Amino acid sequence: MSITGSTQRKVTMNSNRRQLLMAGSAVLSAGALARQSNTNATPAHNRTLSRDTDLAGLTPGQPGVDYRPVVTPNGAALPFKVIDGVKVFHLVAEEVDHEFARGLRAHCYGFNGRVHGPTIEALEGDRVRIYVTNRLKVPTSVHWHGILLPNGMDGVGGLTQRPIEPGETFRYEFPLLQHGTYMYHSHHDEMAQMAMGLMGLFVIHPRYPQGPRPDREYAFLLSEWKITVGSRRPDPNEMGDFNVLTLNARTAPGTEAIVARVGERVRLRIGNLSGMSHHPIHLHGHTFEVVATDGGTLPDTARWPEVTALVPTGSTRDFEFVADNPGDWPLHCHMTHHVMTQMGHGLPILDGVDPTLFDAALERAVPAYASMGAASGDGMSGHGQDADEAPAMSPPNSLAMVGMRGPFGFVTMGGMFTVLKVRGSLPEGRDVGWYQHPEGTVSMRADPKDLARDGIEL
Amino acid sequence: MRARFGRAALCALLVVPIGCAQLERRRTEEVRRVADEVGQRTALVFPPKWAELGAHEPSPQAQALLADGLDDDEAIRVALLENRSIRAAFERLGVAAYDRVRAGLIANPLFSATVLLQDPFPDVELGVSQPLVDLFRRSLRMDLADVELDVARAAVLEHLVRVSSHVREATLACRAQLERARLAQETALAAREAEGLTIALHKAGNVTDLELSTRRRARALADLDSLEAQALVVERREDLLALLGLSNDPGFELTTRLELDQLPAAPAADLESRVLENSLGLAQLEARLRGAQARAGLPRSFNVLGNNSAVGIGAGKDDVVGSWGVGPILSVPIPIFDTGASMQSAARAEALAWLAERDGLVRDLASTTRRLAARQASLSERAALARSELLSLTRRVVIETLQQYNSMQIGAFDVLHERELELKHSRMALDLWEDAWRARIDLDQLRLGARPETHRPSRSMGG
Repeated sequence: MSITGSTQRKVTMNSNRRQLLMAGSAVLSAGALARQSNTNATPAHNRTLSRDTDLAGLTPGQPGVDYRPVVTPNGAALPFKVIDGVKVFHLVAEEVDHEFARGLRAHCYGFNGRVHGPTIEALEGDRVRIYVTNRLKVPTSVHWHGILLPNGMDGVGGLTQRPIEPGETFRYEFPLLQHGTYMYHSHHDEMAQMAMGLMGLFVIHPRYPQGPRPDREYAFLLSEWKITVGSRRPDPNEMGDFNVLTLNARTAPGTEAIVARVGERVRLRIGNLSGMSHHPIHLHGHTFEVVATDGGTLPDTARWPEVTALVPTGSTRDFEFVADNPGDWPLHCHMTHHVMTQMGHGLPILDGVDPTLFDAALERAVPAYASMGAASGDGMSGHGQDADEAPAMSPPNSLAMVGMRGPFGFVTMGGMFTVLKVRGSLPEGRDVGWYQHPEGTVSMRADPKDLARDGIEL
Repeated sequence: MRARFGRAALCALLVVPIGCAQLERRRTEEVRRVADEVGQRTALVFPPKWAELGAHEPSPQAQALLADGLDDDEAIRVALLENRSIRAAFERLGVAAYDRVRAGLIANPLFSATVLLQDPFPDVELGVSQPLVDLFRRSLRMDLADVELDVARAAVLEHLVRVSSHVREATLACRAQLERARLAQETALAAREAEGLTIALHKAGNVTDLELSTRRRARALADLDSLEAQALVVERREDLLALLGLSNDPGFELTTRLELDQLPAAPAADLESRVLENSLGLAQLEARLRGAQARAGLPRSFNVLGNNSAVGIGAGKDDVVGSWGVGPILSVPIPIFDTGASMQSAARAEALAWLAERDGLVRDLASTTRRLAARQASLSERAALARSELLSLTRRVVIETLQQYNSMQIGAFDVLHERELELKHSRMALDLWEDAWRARIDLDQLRLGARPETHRPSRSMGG
């Protein structure tokens, strides 16, 4: 709010608070708030409504009618109901036994049985009333990250409200004056509670969309965790050595692929609530533009084609591109450690040493020794493959550092990684499978004739 | 007269071999009696035939036992055959047995002859006397010899029990030390593997000189430990050979298995009363007390008369008339000093001393029984805990360390380190197991009548 807030708006907000006090009511009536909010000097680049629009006169947006709902891969949308023209949501903060990928579960914090919490979707101009019930054992609060709202609804424990004690239900209510990709998260003991997963996406669709409309929208929330190999609870005290990097709280190979038909316009709404990391998100096979931030839509003049764009922590970025290149294209953070899972440290450097020495030594010294450590000589790839084939040899509740099965063997990626599958046609309700490459379009071992022709001497 | 002397001489010649036969029978009876008691106390068949003294090779019986390897009971049988200290103890029993026979015999009559050369006829006096007090003291003397025989018998038994117990302990120590040496070798192997890997890493430039030196030092320590363990294997075997009485090592194997899962059962509830009932130390003290009490109960006059009193018949030839005269002889000390009182008092004091020692030993045995029972219970509990929890958890740690290694969270050195810890904990569990059984052996020795040394050092208690 401070980034976009003007003096004028601050005055208005103060006025609101005074009115609240004078009314002796905890919450302004919908009409009064709408009228007051309507006067906000909200910058034009994140709203399609005129400042003079009477929000009370707007009908609540209907998914599929007024906007195309986003798809949150591995996630869900938070259901709502409309009561007297207000969209009513209910978030329940609670402990959730969450699966990051097959083989790795942990006791996390989430909302409504999910980690992250379900995506809240609404239409610009909607008035929302969000109940938050705290079923955790600790106090919490919810901050509506990036959303312009009255100060008392901002959800900062101790500053703008008292924390929600265990068992209590708080009500948040405010009009949505903007559109864009936003987030919500705990703002009480947030280092610990966000490290445990208490967060979600908040997508506000434009009331009056401008420009080409995407055919598909996918929403991702990036986060990072420290889960010691073999343990079952994220370490909320970690400050730097995060070892589980996630898209929508899932880590590869547990991430769901996204799809697009050739020629479709795709929007990726990507938020980042990692504790310490920014993520350069890289898309293979396409160029895209960052069309919006959580500050608003970028004007055409401020966009440029990219293949990698940084999503800083505490920010959102909307990428748009036309899926014009069929295939299976990685979409991932380009920090190499962020496409690994539960990476170990402090290992001896094995380069320059025959790795089979290690297994041979352990076989001699440790009875019933069964290793899949250094023997393969293929580093983490071999490790990932071995772990996949013989999970019992790894610690329970742990993942290989990298790896998933692919059409050409083992894919040495993990963590913050998924695949965009672009196809000419998309069968409804069916897995599109791996891309079938046209003949002659897959790299393979060079033909000696080709080498000779091209003068490559080996 | 001459004919009478001739008959007496003939009788004497016949009595000597008969007496010798009696003596041998008496000794054999005593040996048999002790052997039976050994059997009753130790459930072992005691070999009646000794190995030949001075023989270099074991007796055929012992060789037969040694040929197929020895379990604990067979080792004890070999010791009973070959251990010279047991043989010596039995010979000492023979001494007591002969003394007992001698105590039952009446002293031989004393013949005296005096010839005074004078005119016209030499003066000849002949006398035959029988020590007077000896006749009355025979019963006491036999009682005292019985006391000495009882003491000797108890001492032999005590020695036998002690040697048997020591053999059991020595075989236990041999087995445990073999296992200890095996564990030490495994530890040294793990240390060598770690050193080898570090050398390879060092050659590749991946680790520092310090890491290499540290690893090499650890290997050297492990080698030293292993060498010591091997040396102790030899020492423990020599301890056993000495107890078995073998002059060299015939290379037999110990066949009793190392059952590390088996621990001694809790002692019987009536152990303390059985210890007191069976105590050979108490038996010796009570025998000595009995002897002292017997001596203290003698009439003072017996002591006054001493050993020189005698009655007899004398014959003398009158030098004037040349005829022989016959008359009684009596010789007694003149009781000017009452030596009987002091001897009686000394005997009473001695009885009191034995009584006090016996009471002291009763208390000591009760305390020792409780101490050893508590020691065995505690050691068994700890050994069981070490086996059931420590070792299984340590194994689990190794496996889980391997899993962490497999997931590339840690390196091979961490695995080898955990392996070394596993072996160290195995040795700890072994020490507890051995000490638990040593306590049991001590307790059995105590129950069988021989008080063990209770303050011996133990491995598991820092000894």
